[in-house]
Amino acid sequence: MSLERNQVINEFNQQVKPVSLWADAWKRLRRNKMALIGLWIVAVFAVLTLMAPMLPIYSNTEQEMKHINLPPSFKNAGQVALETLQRKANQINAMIANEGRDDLKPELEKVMAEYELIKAEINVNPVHKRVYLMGTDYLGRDMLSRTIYGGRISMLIGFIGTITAVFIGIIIGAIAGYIGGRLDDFLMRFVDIMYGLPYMLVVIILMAMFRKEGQSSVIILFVAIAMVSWLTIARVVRGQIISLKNAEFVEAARSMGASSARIIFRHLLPNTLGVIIVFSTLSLPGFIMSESFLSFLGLGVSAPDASWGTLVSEGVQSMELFPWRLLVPACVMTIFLFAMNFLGDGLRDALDPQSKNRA
Amino acid sequence: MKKALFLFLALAAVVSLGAQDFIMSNGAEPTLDPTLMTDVASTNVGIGLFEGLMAYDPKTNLGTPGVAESYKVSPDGLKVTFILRKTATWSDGTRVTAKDFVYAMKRILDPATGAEYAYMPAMVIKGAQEFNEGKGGFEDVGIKAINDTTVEYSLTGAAPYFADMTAHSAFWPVPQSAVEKYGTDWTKPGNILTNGPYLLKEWKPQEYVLLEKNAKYWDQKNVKIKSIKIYASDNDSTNYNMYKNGEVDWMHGIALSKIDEIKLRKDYQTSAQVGTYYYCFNVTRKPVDDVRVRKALAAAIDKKTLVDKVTKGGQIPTDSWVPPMAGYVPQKGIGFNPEEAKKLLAAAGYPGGKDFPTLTIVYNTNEGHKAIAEYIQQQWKNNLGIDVTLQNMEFKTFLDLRGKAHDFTIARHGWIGDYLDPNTMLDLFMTGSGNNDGLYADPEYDKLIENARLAKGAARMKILQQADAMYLTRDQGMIPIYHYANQDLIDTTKWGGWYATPLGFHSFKYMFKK
Repeated sequence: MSLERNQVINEFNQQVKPVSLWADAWKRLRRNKMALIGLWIVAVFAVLTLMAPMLPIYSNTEQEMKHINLPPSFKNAGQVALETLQRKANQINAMIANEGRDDLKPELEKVMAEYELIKAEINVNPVHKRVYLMGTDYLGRDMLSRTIYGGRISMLIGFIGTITAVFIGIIIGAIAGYIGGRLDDFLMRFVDIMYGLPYMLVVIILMAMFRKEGQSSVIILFVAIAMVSWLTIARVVRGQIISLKNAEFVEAARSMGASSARIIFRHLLPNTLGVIIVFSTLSLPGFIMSESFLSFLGLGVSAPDASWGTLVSEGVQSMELFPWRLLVPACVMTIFLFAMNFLGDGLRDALDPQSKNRA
Repeated sequence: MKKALFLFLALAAVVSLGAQDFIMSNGAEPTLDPTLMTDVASTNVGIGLFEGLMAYDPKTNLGTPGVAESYKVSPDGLKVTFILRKTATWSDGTRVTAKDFVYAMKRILDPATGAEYAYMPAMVIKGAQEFNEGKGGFEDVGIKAINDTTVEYSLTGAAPYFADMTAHSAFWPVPQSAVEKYGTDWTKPGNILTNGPYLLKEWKPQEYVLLEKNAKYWDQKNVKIKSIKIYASDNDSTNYNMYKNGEVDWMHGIALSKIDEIKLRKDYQTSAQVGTYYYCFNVTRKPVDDVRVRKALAAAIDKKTLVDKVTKGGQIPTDSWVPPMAGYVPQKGIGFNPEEAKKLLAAAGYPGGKDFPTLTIVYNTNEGHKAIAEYIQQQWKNNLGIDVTLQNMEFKTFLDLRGKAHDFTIARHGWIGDYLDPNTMLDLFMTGSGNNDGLYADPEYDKLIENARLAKGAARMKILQQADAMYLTRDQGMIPIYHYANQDLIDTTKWGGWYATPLGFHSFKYMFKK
């Protein structure tokens, strides 16, 4: 029986369909429910944030001074504002009545004046017809829109950080691993030195050095995060390459006269791709977290742009009074990070042939 | 053994809890060298540690006798002689003499010291300006120690506010022995000598300062609070939470994000303050070197809404630089007028904001400054069609950038008067003044301020108004935004001797527990 090129035979001499590594991995991933949910959530987030300018949401930077700190609601903003003011007036009234706080009377008048003002124009002014599903912040900006646009920046930092890290890491790691010897020593000691530098200090110094008049700090943030993020992946790739470089298929390629570049990029790297993909998905949340941390310190993106990190840090300051300003971005960010972690876990199981969780 | 250790720890805890009678949250890390003090947080601590010839009255903030028991002004007003009390001593027991004041003056005026406040004595004391600019010797400066208890100042003009002025940190005495022995370390606990009601017991930088009653202080029998802990944290939210939990007795400055809640508190103290929050232009930089651009930017900010909706703390929106003061009519810059602003910007060559370079507003990291900057950014975008970016930085870095390097185009700024006279606001913008961060320079303006020094009464106010009009109405050297309001949290039913003052100075000396 002649065997055609594309046919595969199993151990019982039956013909089976050929399965590529990727199809196999996809099949395994599909069986992992959590990973699949994670994948869907990440996809939805990505689509939402990418399409943000086209979505029917309010501007993320436009300030509406009549709608400051409104709670989330399905009702019209004008109505919510009136209710909020009414509640405040009642609170002050109670304080005047119960505690004899006559010093609060001017404050009460102010609240009532604003109440009347909004009441008078509630049917005339179209801004009062808005609906803030997630409430507003301290300058009357829509939290929903700010969270979506914030996700844009946070996810962008995550993806750009990962892509640059993977790109630089692969090249340095592969060269060090494959060529070895002095070059390997040199490159790896360089990585050690970079590891030794305090990460935050490097970022802060970079931010201070390269910030120019009129320029947004996001780009420097990208560069700073990318500069220190490729180290781990370079080490991982180097280890993989060293363990593979004396394998038979590499010997075979070499004996057929393949160049070093060809061996590295055509034969070795595809074999380490699984590890790299898994590593990237798992490190992406790390970048988002470190940007949040920098934003928390006031070193992140500059206002009025906001990332999830800056939104959370603004929200924390007034969480007792306006809890939605913390909860909305914090929940969204947590969900995304969870999804990303589950997806990373699933990918590791799916791509790693040695994994004991193989289905 | 274990039990003994536990008992010891418990005892230690109790002792350390009772260690301070009064706790204050100051909002920033202080500088303890009077010569180099510039900000409110430093003065807050400094008033406890040092005392000038005059001291601030706890209610009015006018001068009240401090180290000096009395003073005499010559008929022409050009010579002021102070008689020091014999009982005034440093914390090591040595007398505070006239020489200490002369030494402190020499130190602050010495160009090598680089003190930002040098301009303040330099402008009133004869020959001080020349010495400060390196053109004259100290022997020509108008300060003389006639004997140990008499110090005589010769002034450039009859400055009616001079005696009040000596309550300011720039005029405080400095202990020569400690400064010469320890150099820049002289303000460390153990090295420092103080002459005020309190001693420096402990100083943990960026954390707290611990003051303890000075038993050698001449008026120590009237000092009631034994020890004071002053926290340096600039995190308003944390500070407020500490205040709410009773861990802090007096919180200076408040958290903007909590204002809605704080405003309704019984212990919230607020009153008008002699000071102005403003946006400072570096007038040597393009495009704000053009007065039309400055006016356009100033006219495009609705300050009333800003104060009502963003800062919300009783501040007074303003178009003037000098806050309301008796006998003085503050001059006005351009008010909110978007139409006029657009025209001015077009006249300057940027119709509709076209081709206007992207400027950066610099501010020190603080949620209040950030909210204001975001609001102004949006106002300029809506009313002028121009984009600006915002940049925040740590306070000390910010002060260096704004005050020393002048490396900014627009920076957030604020100025609180040092004494109750319009001069305290206006002399800021004289050419070369240490706090003239926007580098405004106009010889005519300098001349007017100098002339005002020689004049008296209503005529003097008139000349000052002229200068004010030149700087603000004609040149719009900055954008005044609001006049400050004191914002403090302190329960005055529990603590006496604390008042909401016009300059915001509060002396621990007069405070007591009710």
